[in-house]
Amino acid sequence: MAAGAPTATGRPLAALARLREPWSDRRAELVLGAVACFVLALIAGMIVFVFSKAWPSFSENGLSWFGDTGNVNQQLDTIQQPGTAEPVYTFGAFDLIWGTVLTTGGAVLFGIVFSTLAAVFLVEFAPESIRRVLTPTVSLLAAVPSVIYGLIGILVLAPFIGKMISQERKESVGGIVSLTGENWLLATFVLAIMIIPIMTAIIAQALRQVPRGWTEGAAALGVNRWRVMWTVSIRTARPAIIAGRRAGHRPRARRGHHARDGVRRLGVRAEPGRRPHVLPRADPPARRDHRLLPRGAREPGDRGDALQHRRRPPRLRHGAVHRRVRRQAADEEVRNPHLMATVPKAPKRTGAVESLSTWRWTDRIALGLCWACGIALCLTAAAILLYMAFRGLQYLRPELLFERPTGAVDQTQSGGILDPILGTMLLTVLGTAIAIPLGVCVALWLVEYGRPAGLARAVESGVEIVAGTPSIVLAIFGLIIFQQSWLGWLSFTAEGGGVFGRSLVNASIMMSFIALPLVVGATREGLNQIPGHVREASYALGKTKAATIRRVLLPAVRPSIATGTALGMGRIAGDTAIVIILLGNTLLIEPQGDTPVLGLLTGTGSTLTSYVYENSPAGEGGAYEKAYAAAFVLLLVVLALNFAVARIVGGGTTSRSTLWNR
Amino acid sequence: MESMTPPPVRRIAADRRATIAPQPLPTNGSHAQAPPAGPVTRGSSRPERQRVPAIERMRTEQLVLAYGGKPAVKGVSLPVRQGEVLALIGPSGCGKTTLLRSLNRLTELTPTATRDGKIFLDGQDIDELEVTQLRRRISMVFQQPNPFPMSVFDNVAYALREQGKKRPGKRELMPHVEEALRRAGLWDEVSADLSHPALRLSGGQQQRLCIARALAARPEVLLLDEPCSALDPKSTEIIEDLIVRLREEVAVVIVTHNLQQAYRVADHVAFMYLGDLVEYGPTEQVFHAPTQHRTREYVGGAFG
Repeated sequence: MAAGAPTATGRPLAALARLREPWSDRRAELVLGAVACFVLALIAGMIVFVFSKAWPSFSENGLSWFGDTGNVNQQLDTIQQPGTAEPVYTFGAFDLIWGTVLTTGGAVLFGIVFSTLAAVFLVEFAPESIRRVLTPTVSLLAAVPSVIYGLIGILVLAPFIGKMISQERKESVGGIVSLTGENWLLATFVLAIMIIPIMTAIIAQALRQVPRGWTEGAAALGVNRWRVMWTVSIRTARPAIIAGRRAGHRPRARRGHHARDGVRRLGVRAEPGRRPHVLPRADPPARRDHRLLPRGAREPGDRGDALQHRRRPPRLRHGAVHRRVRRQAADEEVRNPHLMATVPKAPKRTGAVESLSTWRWTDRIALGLCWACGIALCLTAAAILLYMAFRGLQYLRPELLFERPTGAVDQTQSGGILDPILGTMLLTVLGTAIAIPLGVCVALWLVEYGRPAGLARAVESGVEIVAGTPSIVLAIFGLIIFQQSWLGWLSFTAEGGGVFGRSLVNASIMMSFIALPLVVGATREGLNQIPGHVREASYALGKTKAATIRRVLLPAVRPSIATGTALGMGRIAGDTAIVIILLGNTLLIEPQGDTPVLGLLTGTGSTLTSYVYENSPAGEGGAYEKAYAAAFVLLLVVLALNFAVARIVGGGTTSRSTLWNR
Repeated sequence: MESMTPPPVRRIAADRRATIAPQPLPTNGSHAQAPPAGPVTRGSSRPERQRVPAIERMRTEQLVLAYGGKPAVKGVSLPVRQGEVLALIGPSGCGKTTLLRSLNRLTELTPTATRDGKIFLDGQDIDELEVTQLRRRISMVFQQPNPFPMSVFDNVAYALREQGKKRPGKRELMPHVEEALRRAGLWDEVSADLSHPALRLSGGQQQRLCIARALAARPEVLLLDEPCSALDPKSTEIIEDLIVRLREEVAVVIVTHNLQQAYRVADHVAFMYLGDLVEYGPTEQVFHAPTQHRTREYVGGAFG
């Protein structure tokens, strides 16, 4: 390229670039911002709408809304006796609030202590063999749908506790409360078991992300491992522990990758002939050493030139090929008998055996608790998974997968689980299909534009609010909104003009809100991990911001998007409340009207989760065999998704696109 | 991990390469007569300083360190003396940092690392010492300043608080903290507000805080892993002065890429290349009259 070329060719090339990139920066920002505003408006609209609907109840009851419920039986009597003039309702949410506080508080208190200790065990003290098994198991358990925990709780634990309560005791209080074993203690216990894997996974992740400089710095001062953990790691990870926020995985920052290679790998190709000097060093140091080292220099301690070179494999650090070359060289080196004679053979591993005698008593007790929690977690995980596998294999027959269910009471007559499986698949696919584009656009706008800052903050907190909302609240949101008459076309409208509000598309829309925060979070995390110099390298090649997003950033964050999507799919497949409230929870998939696709979309159905729920004692029936079979299939689905996530994440650290030089 | 910054001498001596590269292959021992590459021309000054009596504190014997079976340090024997500063120099990836980290058994934190050979502290094999006890006696300062996310006071008091069997109170700690900060030359800058978050200090101050943190526990050996590589010249100067002063009370080992720095602070220099100890000797000798061909090339700036 001639030195004066830029002035001569600048304008035509710019025009060409515009032609090839239909998205001008301005337009890209407007579109992405519009999507973000749309999502924000939806969320804000939902909140305002539900408050406006909830207000009558608050204003009617006043402060007594938070009060006692009053005598329920008396109220029922007054309602049922037609003679009474005006039935008086008193509504008080005190019992409900108290129940929430009791179960949540108990579970969280127990869970946070247990899972912190378990996470410390997992990260620091567990032997390698246990760690290798426990780490994926914890992340699998974290993804198990709550309905499966509930099933185990009600079918296994409740009768077990019920049996422990003596018959006399049951009879003595029989008139007031029936002691079947379904009590708040059990609920708290099951909730704790349910949240412990999630919290353990999050805390372990946070602990692993504590910069090595800090832990090594503390260790170098002669502080024992427990105290390093306690004073540095947990302290640093505390915000993450409290927020309970899943910090996305952060691939190890690797040394020696250069910005220019980042650009090269990403495929930002400059036109031939205009290639700037961004290629990796053409002259690897090895070759230079080769030239400089006198052949056969026989200094004392020198082992001759041939070995000299072999021992110093090419120091190209990029790409799998070079890594393989290096590894091969290392292998050869070890195998080389000559070298083995001169260099002492692969030395033994010196263990960092610490004697506990210098530890404080409190530390020793804490270490013991740590081991106890770790072992308990192992046992619980094994018990749950093995029990579900055992029951599933016991009751799952292949024909169940292809038969439609029927409404029979008898377990032998109630058919298969084809419709719930289809329902789960449809709902998952539709939900993620809505969530991905919205989520990716929101994340892109937040990270790459994010102006005005106030709006960005609002969008951010909106997404966080949705992430923190229980799905049953989302389901109620959805039901109120979709029962508006102007949204009647999404479900079906009854004779009198009442809108049913329950349909596949409605459920999918609300389900997408469950997946949305996960997609946004993972994509943001991925985008944040791309160092600024990669963007700058693209701008320096004359690309617009929009083009950079499309050609550089989006390909690079594809693994992150996939991770978020798979996590979101797992959440959708495992959700129960939205299915029961918004999908109609009909046993069969029942299309609305005769139009093929539209009918299906506006029709109702069920999924595996609602099927499990309905067939457990908590729902209608005692078809627990079917419930176990369906739960097993559900577990397999979650396992597959989990595996996919692990593959994406694990592959991400070795695949080319996520290794960045900092 | 070594930094990617090339030693500045390389650029200065670039014109020398043409004369060195095509040199005829010298036979064994012939290079000893070759004229020494002159670091004196580099204009780096080596201040005269009084000698302090040197006592041997540590010794490595045939030390071999490997990562996943791949040797990084191959049979190095070295003494570490109190009253002297020992500088480890050599190109990137030659095993300096690995050697340094093995001295207080920090390499054991890397899962794939293995070790053979012996390391002695005051004649005692360090494998026989309890590892935290060992690290209390041999402290380390890292390449990147790594103050903990706490206040200045808590950082310096950290080792004192966490090492003992019981936790000393703030009043008890104060004199020790002040002394450590004074020795690290940081007291005047931070004494006004010891509750200042350590991460808000400047890079040079952070590194001196890390040195103060290491000194607070009164170590016998201080390991410095390129302590100035991320710092500006002014902070570097302060830390170099500090190192020279410290050598009277503690044995100091410093890994550095900066040859001029090694020349300025060290009493003995060990040159390593590809895991081998090529040359060990007094600073003047290594820089002005190296006995080994590769040392001469390296300190002369021919390669790095």
